[in-house]
Amino acid sequence: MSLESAWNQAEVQHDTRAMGMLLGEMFTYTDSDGSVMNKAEWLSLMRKETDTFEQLGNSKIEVNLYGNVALVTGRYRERVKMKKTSIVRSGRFIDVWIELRGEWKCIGGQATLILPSPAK
Amino acid sequence: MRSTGVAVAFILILLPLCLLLPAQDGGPPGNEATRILSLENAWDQAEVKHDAHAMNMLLADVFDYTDDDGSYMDRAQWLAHLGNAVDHYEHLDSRKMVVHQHGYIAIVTGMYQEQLREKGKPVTHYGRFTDTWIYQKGEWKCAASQSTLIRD
Repeated sequence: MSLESAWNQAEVQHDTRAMGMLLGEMFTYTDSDGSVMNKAEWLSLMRKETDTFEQLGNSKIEVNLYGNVALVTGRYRERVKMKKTSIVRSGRFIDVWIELRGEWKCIGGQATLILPSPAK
Repeated sequence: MRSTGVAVAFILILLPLCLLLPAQDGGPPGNEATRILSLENAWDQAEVKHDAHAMNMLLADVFDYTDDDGSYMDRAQWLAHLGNAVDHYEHLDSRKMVVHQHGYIAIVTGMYQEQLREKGKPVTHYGRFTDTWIYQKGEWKCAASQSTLIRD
């Protein structure tokens, strides 16, 4: 869970060095718009990102351990300043962490926006 | 006396350690990509046919499902959703699947296209998924699945 918090801090601060240390070389990430990126592409996107995170937090986190692999699921809420307006988005994520040589590295993840319930 | 001591030591020290290890048969499996992809196809068939029994056999005891609208279901909820035939599929297929195997765990990423009827109208969704499979007792079981719509 502390690594998940470190992830959020790195993302908010556009700290690609810190993020790079959290990721395995085989990292694959599917963002909430359906785009898919490897490690280099994800770090490059973070570097170029002009949006400013005003808030990013996780909740309802669950960790399931399978030997040296951990599946982390949870919810996230982010408030992002895009140009002059702030938008709030909520979603769910899954991250897969693997312990290699005494260190936990994230090797995959996916984010999905929570859509508003359809009007009845 | 010495053999008794060894036996006691085994029971007190080694046995609890054995119980802590994941339940696996033999060593890590070799390249299982083909087998896992066939399980992905079995998943699609079970979903289209609302076959909760077949789906049940593919899932690990602990299973987390996140649908492409962000709704969450645990194992029992997902099987009930499937059994209730909530989604009326006309077509579902997965493509561009890649298996990333790391010993006892495999992550499958891919795209899907589904054609279904919502309130009598045909709709088509395109999305990406990440499925996580774990190897337990000689079988691969899906421990988590998450889908995300591809936005234009």
